[in-house]
Amino acid sequence: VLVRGGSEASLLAVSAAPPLGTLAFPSFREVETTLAPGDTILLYTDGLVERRSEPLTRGLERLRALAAAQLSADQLCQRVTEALVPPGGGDDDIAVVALRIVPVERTLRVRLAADPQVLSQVRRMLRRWLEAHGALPDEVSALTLAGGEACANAIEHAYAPGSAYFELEAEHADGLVTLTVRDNGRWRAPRGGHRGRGLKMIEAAVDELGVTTSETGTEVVVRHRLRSR
Amino acid sequence: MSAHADLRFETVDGVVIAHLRGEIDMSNAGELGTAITGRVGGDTQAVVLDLGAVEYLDSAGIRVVYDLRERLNQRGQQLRLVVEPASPIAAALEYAGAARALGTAQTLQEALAALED
Repeated sequence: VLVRGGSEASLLAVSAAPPLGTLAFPSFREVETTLAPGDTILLYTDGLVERRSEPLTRGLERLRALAAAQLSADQLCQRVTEALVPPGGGDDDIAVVALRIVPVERTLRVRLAADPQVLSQVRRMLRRWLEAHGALPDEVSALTLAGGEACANAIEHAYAPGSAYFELEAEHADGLVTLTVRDNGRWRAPRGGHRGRGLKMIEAAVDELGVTTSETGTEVVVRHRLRSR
Repeated sequence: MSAHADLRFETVDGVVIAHLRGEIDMSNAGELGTAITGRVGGDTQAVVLDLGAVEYLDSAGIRVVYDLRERLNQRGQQLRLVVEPASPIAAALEYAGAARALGTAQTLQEALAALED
């Protein structure tokens, strides 16, 4: 089911094919459609819509009508499972996945676990946000590196990996991009030749770097003016 | 190897060539460094890090390169880096002041030719 802009729902013209894994050399037809920001695609297994007592089209239409609502992806899954899963469970397995194309926000604000594994996700978010705000490829690289280093710095401040959080904010006003990374850890002064390298790299990559430390944590602020704006 | 990077080895006349691909950061740099060190033997003349397909390299990755170089130099083994000038990581090495310090070559052939006997 494709939900356009969160209210208008239609069934995608997908042809029936054998279940995955049942044939050694199956063939599937690909279907392509273009999604716009805010659109949602709802994937489901047949257990959600099939009822022994009625034609399949009725079950599909019931799902389509339920999906035509202004809801978050989570709420959408909840709504269709609550309405369509029979009390005590169905006869068949049921799986529902809702994928939403999230529009790029004016301000990006996320709270993340202080775990090195989140860094690649941070870079993906920053690249997408920066591109949407008109940054040129070299500016995207420089700011992604600066943001990545600032986040890595916050992760290093956390005492136990995975148990603490940090915040990342990205703002854009009239060509000026500001990235702010806040953590609750205690500032550790750069030692030796290596610990200061991340901050040195941020300084070289962008216009301005500010580091504020207090009893409650550290705030790293990166400012950079985009050439294109 | 890691969710966003991979590593492939090739050995030519005592030179260990490590082809890296993907994104190198704090989450996988240590693991990659250990894997490369593990390939170096007493008869290894040099290590060439081919970073041609690396799209992201942060300070944690650069630190691993410095550590590797130090370890190799102690045993009289050489380290060379291959970084194309247009690569996104060329800027990162420049920001870290590491481009000149570590000595980069633009192609694998150039890196191999630059090795001292």
